[in-house]
Amino acid sequence: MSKSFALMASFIVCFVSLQTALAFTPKNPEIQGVLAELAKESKAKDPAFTEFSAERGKTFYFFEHTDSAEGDKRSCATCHKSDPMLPSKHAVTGKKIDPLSPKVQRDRFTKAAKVEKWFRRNCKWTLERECTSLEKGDFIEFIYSL
Amino acid sequence: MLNRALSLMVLAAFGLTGTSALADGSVGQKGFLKPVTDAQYLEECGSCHFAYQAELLPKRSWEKMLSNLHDHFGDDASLEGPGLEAVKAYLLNNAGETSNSKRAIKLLQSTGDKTYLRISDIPYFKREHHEISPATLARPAIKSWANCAACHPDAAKGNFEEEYVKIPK
Repeated sequence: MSKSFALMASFIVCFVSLQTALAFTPKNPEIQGVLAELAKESKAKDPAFTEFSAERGKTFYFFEHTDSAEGDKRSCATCHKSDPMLPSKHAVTGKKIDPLSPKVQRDRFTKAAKVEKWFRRNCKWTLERECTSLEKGDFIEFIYSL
Repeated sequence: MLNRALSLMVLAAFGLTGTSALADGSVGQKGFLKPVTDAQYLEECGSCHFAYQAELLPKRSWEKMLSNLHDHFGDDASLEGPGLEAVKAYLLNNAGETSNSKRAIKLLQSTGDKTYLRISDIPYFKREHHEISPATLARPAIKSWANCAACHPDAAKGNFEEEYVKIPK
């Protein structure tokens, strides 16, 4: 009796931890390094900074900027879709873009230089400026929170 | 005798003009461009748009484009260091002037003395696509001249032959 109870209990523990594993994508060392660096920069700019926020990141992700040259509205979702778990298309060229979420696309956010490069390129197209370290950190936390 | 000569001529003509594409639509024929194999070019340029074969533009066009990547048709595609060098090496070593492909040669010839940045502005490209209406181009599955593979399914293999074209509805 107690044996079967123990077996059942261990099943439940396994099931719960599996669910947690599926719901939570652990951050690899590369992205942890990127976030630590971004946090350092954010703290230097604003001593009141404590941590990045997925909630702020979500607002940032959907924020629409009107392009000064073309007059169209642009946000992260223009190319990456409102659901970053799904594949999407480049707004201008129509080229397929793999899902942004590391939960679906395992090689996302695994190379610091690549993360930095794409922030540089895409922030300029979307917002006509570079993103701040706070925005980048919040953005990453938002993507990981999905 | 005359009949035999005629049929030989017909055979010869077929031999010359018969379909030049391999069954799987892959490389090795006169009209075909060399498929891109350069990993860094595929990564740096092919992430945002079709990885155009270097043969599609002359050297002078690639040089001009690479000198202004921070404003790449309104997009920031800036590259630095080894990435830029690798992309440059691929493009210049395989530019239009080096091509044996009949289509690349026609493209190059029709550039005249101009330095085009958009392949779709080159007169030969325009002639070959004159029957594509703006409405067709605007279809969601096509969207842009940049999206070669939308209508040329084997574009990445360097195959732009007309008999392989499939225009999405």
